[in-house]
Amino acid sequence: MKMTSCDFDVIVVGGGCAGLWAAACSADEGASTLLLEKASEVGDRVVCAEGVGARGLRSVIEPSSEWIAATIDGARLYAPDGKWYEIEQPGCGFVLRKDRFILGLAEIAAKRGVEIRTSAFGSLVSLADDHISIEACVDGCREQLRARALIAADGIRCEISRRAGILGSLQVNEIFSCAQDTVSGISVDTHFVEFHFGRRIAPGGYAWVFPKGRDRANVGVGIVFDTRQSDCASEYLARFKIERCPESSIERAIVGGVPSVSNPFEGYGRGIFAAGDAARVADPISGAGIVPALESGAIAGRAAAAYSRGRLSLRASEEAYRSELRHLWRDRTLRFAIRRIMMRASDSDLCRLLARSAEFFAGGNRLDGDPIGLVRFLIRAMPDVFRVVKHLVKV
Amino acid sequence: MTLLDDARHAGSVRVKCNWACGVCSVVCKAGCITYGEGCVEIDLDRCVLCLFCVRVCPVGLIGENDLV
Repeated sequence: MKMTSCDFDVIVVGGGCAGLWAAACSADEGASTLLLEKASEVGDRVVCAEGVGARGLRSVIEPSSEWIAATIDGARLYAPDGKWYEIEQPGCGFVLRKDRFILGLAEIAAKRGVEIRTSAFGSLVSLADDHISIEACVDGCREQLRARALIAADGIRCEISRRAGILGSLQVNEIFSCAQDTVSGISVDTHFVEFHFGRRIAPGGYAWVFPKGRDRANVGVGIVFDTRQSDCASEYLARFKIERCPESSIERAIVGGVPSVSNPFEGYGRGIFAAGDAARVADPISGAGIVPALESGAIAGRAAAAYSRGRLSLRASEEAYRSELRHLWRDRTLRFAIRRIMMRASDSDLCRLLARSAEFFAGGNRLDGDPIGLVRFLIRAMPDVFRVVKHLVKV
Repeated sequence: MTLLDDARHAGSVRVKCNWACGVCSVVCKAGCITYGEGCVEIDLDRCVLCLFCVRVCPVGLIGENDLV
């Protein structure tokens, strides 16, 4: 069969960390790669709490000091009954300057040969057997481009994958609805992140304070829809801020959603590979998305490049994408089950859970370590709450 | 006017929204939500009134008295 000529081997739609890293990895594999970002600059529309585990980030890329707003030495967990627990682990995480981080990734991608076009909105036009057509709208001018493979890194809306019929809609309980203000004039310990739990503060989720300097922080709330609640995330955030930082002033306000699904391995088909929030890969317990975005970006980039360069058939590249994701998140079912427990837990159960978790970490276990150890401990310590996940892990 | 009031007459409804976070569209069962300049447009001819968009909106815009 005669192959249609293409403008690029791989086109990436979306210039967030998943898209940029996917493009960099695709170019690294020898594929001619174009990235389309709808904002006027990459890193222009950061919608993120910016917290990341040091070990996870370093497993993908060594962070530059320019990207870091604060180095984190531990976490403080606030229970609904007012008690709080401090878990100290020097250097366990970072609060990033995400705009600089994304610029750093863009520099790496450009050095590897990725062509980056900003103010460029990419939308799917057609899917053929051997190529994909994309319409790129740059400053009002429309251009039709063809590529052998497409990486959809267009965020939670995942318009490309949905239009192609690869992904469907989410259930209301599969998404954290979030609101966050970057505030100044807040009293914070610059080396500790705070997590506040309780149905009054954040039903089904938690509130966070991530320091970004001596008196600056990202203060946010993520909730999961519950029939008992009528308020939205921004209302919970306003109330939380009255308690936590009444004197602070808002520098920037953002809202958004974090997908939380048990099976994020289906974001592929017909030459399209999803990455980041578009693949719904965020951690179902914490909602952390930066490292999963980078990891899924690398997997999508390698698979798309292998297919587009003819090293693998479409079927084999899709299988490689799926199996690499499954291997990376082999404990995903367990994590999702724990999220459901936490979502439904009463305030008294949350108090016990936090107290027991603090005991576990006081025993020398690391915050960014394997979560299975904590789950085993909790199953033994709170069998009444954790019995539903007992079959998923060897105690 | 609210979303439910408008739904009785069908057509489409536009809600002022400068956030464009995409949360409403990703839970929409009917795929009837699109984004325009500073607003969310809901095609009520296709809307199945699941109201998931109302439930997940982080700022509580949809369903309020804030129609364009």
